[in-house]
Formats: sequence, structure tokens, C-alpha cells
Amino acid sequence: MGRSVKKGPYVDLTLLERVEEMNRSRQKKVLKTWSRRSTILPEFVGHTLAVHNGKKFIPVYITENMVGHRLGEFALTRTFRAHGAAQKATTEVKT
Amino acid sequence: MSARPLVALAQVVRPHGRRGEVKARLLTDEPALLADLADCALWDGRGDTPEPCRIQQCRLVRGAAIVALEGVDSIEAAERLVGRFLAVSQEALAPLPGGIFYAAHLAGARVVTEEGLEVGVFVGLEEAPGHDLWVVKAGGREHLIPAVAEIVRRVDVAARRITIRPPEGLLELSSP
Repeated sequence: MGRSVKKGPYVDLTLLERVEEMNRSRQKKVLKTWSRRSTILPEFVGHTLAVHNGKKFIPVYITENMVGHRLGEFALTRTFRAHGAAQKATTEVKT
Repeated sequence: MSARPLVALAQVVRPHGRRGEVKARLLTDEPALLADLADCALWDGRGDTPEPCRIQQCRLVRGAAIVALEGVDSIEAAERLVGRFLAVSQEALAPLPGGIFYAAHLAGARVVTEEGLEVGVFVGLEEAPGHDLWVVKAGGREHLIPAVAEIVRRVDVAARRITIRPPEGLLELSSP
């Protein structure tokens, strides 16, 4: 069952305050966070958050499409590293 | 990566139907590359003796390719291809639309910041749900660079040079 709409989305308050502080001062610093359960809010768009995956910090550049999802969805904890030819052949620079 | 003779565009996952078609997992951001391909090679990913083959028909279904290969007309023949790659030689690679690059062409490229600071050398990429992460090695350290236009400012494949504008703190995330 989804979270009650009345409560609004969950987001770690410390993280939100740090992002809002950066928005006020128009800074673009990478913020380290362990709060994988935090919902991505529109305030986060354009920032790069380093989300911990249990081992290391994964830089996640937040775009509009990610709003409403949780940070943890973008920093996988189990990464299958394809060997040799099974790696992706092309890479796209997302705009 | 650059020494590899062929570039795999898809990997055969399983037979599809009873007429010898196979389902292939795409290894590219540009599915049209495979759909437009006629001649390719069936490759096991290791040896340098790929088997030439011809694609009769290719259609894209829900993020995968359904491929009919010439001479493969039974489910038994299709089963023998599972795990093999549909590959093309580096010389035969089709040009890509702007913003998409072959990882093989970027391998070994120097990564520098807009200020001219040397970051490292592109060694590969990691797939992530939001965007690809480019793995850049510098000495014993490894940087992950999000492949987004705000950070990757310019890619000069011919000069093998990638210019980035890392936000403050990105390069300090590096792991040994």
C-alpha cells in the first residue's frame, strides 16, 4: 500500500535543508547521503547527490524524471558487472 | 577494450517462436543500429574467429530485439546461438546520433576539466538506472562521472579528449 497522501512524501530533513541551503546560495556541490529512502523532490533537480550503496557513494545527477522516486532506486546495491563483450557498446550523454 | 576486434551490439538470450528467430538483449542505447544492420558476425566474445551471418529481419519488442538470421530456421538451430553476440567490426560501425558514443572509441581518452586539470583516463562505463556512469582511472583511484550534459561538456573522439565540468566534491568521491 502506498504512503498516505496526507503525510506528503518522506524526505530526510537534514538532506532537504542542505539542498535548500544550496538553492538559496546558488551552489552546486555534491552532497553525500546515506538516506536512500528519501523521496526526490523538485528542489533536488539539477543537483548531484552521492547516494551510498552500502559500499561506496554513487553520484546521481537529479533530473525532472526522477522526482517522486526514492534516491536508492538510482544507486544499485547489487551491480552485475558484465565481462568482456557483454558490456554495453554505446553510452549516451543525457541532456 | 580498444584492442577488441569486434563490438557486440546484442547478445542472444533465447529462441523466440518455432521458426528460428532469437531474442537478443540490446547492448546499445541506439536500437536502430541493430535494426539497420544486415551483415554482422556471430561471436562468442572471446575468440577472434567470428562466424559471418546475415540478418533477415529485426524488430524491436519491449527493449529487446527479435532477430531472424539467414540459415537459422528451426528452434534447435536457434538454441545453439544462445549466449553468442551479434557483433560488427570497429571499422563497420555505423555513425551515431549526437550525444551517443561507442565505449570502444572512448576507451583510453583523456578526461580533463574545463580549467585544463587532468582527471584521468576513460576505462569503461557502469550502467545505472538514471544515467550511465563513466569510469575514469587516475593512478590507483577510480572516479565515477555521471554521463549528463551538465557535467560532460565536450567529447572529442578524434582527439581522444573528454572535457568535464565536475560539481564541487565529485572528484573527491573517488574510490581506490
